[in-house]
Amino acid sequence: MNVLAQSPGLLVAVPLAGAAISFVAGRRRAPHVAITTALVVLTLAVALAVHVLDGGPFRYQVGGWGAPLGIDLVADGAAALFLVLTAIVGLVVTLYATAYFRTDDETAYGHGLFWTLWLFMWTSLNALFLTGDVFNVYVCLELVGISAVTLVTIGGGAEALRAGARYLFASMLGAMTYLLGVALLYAATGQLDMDVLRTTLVADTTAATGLALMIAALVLKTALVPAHFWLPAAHGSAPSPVSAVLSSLVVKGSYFVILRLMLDVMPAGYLPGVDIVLGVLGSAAIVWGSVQALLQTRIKQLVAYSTVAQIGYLFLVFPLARHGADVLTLALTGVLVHALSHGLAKGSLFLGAGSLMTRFGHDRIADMAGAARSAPALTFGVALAGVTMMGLPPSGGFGAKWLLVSAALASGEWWWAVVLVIGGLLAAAYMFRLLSVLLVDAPTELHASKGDIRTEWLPLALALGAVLLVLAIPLVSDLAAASNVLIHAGVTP
Amino acid sequence: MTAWLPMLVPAIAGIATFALGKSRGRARNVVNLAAAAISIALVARLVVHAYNGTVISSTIPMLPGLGLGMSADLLGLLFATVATVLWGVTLVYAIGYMDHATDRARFFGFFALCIAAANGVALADDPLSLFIFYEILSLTTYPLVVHTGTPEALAAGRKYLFYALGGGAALLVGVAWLAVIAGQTPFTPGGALAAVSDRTAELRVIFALLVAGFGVKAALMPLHGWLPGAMVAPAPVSSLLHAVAVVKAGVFGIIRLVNELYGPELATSLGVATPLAILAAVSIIIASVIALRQDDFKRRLAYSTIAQLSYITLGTALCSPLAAAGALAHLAHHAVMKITMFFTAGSVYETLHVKKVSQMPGLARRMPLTMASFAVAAFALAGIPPLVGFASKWMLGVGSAQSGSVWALIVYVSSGALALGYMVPILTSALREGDHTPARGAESDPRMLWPIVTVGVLTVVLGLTAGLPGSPVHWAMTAIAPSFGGWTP
Repeated sequence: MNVLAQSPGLLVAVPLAGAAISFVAGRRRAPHVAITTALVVLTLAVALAVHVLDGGPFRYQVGGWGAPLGIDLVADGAAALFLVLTAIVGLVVTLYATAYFRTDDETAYGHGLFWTLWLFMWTSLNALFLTGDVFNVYVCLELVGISAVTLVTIGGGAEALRAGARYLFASMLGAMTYLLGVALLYAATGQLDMDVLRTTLVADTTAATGLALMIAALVLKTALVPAHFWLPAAHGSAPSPVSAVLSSLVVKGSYFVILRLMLDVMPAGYLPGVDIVLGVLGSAAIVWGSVQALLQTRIKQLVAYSTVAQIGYLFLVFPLARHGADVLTLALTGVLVHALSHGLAKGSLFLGAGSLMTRFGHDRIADMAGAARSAPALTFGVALAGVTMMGLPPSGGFGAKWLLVSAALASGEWWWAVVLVIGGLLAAAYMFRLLSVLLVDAPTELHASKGDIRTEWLPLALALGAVLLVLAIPLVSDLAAASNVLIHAGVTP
Repeated sequence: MTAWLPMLVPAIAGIATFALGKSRGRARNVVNLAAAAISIALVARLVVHAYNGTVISSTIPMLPGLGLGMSADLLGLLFATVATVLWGVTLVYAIGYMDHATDRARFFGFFALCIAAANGVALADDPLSLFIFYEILSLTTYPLVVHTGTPEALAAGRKYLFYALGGGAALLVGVAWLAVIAGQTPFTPGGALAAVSDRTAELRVIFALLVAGFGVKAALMPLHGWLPGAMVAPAPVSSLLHAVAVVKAGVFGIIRLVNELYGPELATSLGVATPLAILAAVSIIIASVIALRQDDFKRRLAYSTIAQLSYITLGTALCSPLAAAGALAHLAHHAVMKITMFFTAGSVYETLHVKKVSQMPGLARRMPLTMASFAVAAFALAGIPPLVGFASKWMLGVGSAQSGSVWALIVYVSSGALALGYMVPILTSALREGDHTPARGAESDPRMLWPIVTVGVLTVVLGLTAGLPGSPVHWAMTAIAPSFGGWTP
């Protein structure tokens, strides 16, 4: 199975080639290039996951050069999960975009560039999930950030430009802070490779300062409260396929690096108190994001604030990780399931919101009454995605909530379970606020164009994926067991 | 696999109903009625197996160390049988009732999904599996409560969700906590927690959390607030879901909790059973008194339901074999009686737009068969022999005396009198001459009339046959006996 062993390199090379070809292919053929690329990348990602499940994590030396000269890619179970998630959401978004950008104004400036930018961002994200060294993380973050900012502004309009400028500021500030952190870390240790750092890191103020800066920068990029100020505007004003990718995938990229630094690279307690702070900020994000979502009057702002809230759950793993191998396993599996289910459901919600906005011609929730009758598939998609957001069975979100609640109760720190339960109830409040409007009995004047089959059904397909994820939890558990975090913690032999 | 089918068949029917869409009405009716017939046959087969001592079960892995399990034991099958058989009857009624309604595909689709979830609750093998189907039931009921899309319906839906999701949250914490301390705990007659019975403080808190969760659907006061409001739903929903499937899922959860999770012995020694019994007794009295003062027909029935559900909870919480068996039998009996009444309420509304007890004069002449069925069910509910309610009330009463809880016997007897108090005025009002007198003998649509007569006759037949093997009474005693160390009446 040669291709399996090569898949890490190909997961970066193929979308990069796709980006280049789509650039020269022209506007008419670019969508075909993108769809082909997406299918190949999905196959490669699944192949990589299978390979990791069979043989455990492995390193891949690009071009055969080893560290410290060459670039090493590291493929473990957690990386495989994020790659597969990216590929699934990526494929659906690509298919959706072929309909979305066609129904939009054909002559709008920049739409031709969408495909190239999107495939380039996909390339950088894949590289980010696979890279084994903290400097290359910086490079990938920059590339993701720049393509993301450009994609936000691609539709034009004053609001998008303002949001893009704010996003650019946050992105640059994050990147610079991260680079400063890497410089300090390198000055103190002379190492950049995460695996080497893990085994050689000793107590040292400079190194600790460097790592703290890196984590702060990544927190900003992940939009954890209170560093979320840029997210609602950016995710809310971008074209819907772009919002979907930003909310469901891009924030997970920087989160994944935090996960590796906190739980794998640094020994326990290396930065005392940071794990608790992250947990507290995560809890604050759950409450604040949900309350804000409840107050929004525009559909994409609601969905964007829901992302602020859902990101919070991902940070509860850090305080729980201090409580031994069993709790760590539960909590890590929980956040991985959460990342997957949120990725699928949030992709569905943004795509669905985009379709509703196209059909209604506006984005005001209050004026979307009657959608259940005229657009049943869209409404059903929003409902199913909502079930996952609330963490109710049967859904991936339920699996995640169950695992995290169990971890909290097993750790004895039951208050994290309270946060999880409150978060679920608040999610129910903001999702049902939206759903009850869609269910109102009202004659509706929908946009004359009946929805395209892609814009009607693809959001539902993603939401269904988020629900059916509950059946795949044993598989996610196996991949979590094959992650470097659990292997190095001695959980997996 | 067989144990999954009573849940899967209605679920598939529901999805097929959505897929058929709004225009293919005939195909939709065929699919749903066929699914009901198949489900009844499947449940019947499982009942035969269970009576012969073979409990068919199956578990698939889901969460780490925990599976999703179904097990077709007699206790669960009693609830599954009630839900499935009455689903079939209600379908016929609903096809008549919803003849002119909008969004019928959505209605029948979610209706079938609700039954799938109720059967899942019935046959779930452990607390986690039960919780999963319990929550699915909450979610699939919501679109039916708000079906009409009116502001009133949406407000009722909001209230319903507030209670249901709050209860679900308590249940989640309780079930997860239990899993953390005890792992997978399949329901076992007499209790499944022997290994951890020394963790008394935690077990008490978990019991309270689980009761809070099940109490919402069981309409245990003060968690009952959603039920009267939910009566805004179309009549088939009130009949099947808010008298049978949804509310019985709550009391069924309490039955499993007391008899097969904690076990009567542990529940008594922890001192958690008595507070539950007192709560239920208070609910019975208060709800019955409130029912006396309701002029709205469906609201009166709703408060009567709250009282009758607490009969079941009280009988279970007494932790005495005869009362527990009576409670289980009453789960089936009350379903038959109350569905008759809600069918009646729906058909007098659909035919004559009568919503209030005070608007009823003349009804007995206008719709004699309907009102006769109602009268039989009303007397059965008050516990008049030989109708169906008598047998289970007798068991509940004697059981409470046997367990030394004379106060419970007093509660049962006085609430029987109260039941007469809130049922008889309906009958006297209907018997008076009044507005509806002229067009005598014009019953409702036959698709609504015959289901009413069927369940009305059932209240008599089940009452007369209560002593025979296979009757709900006999079935309940057989299903409960193992929880009390092989007790024989």
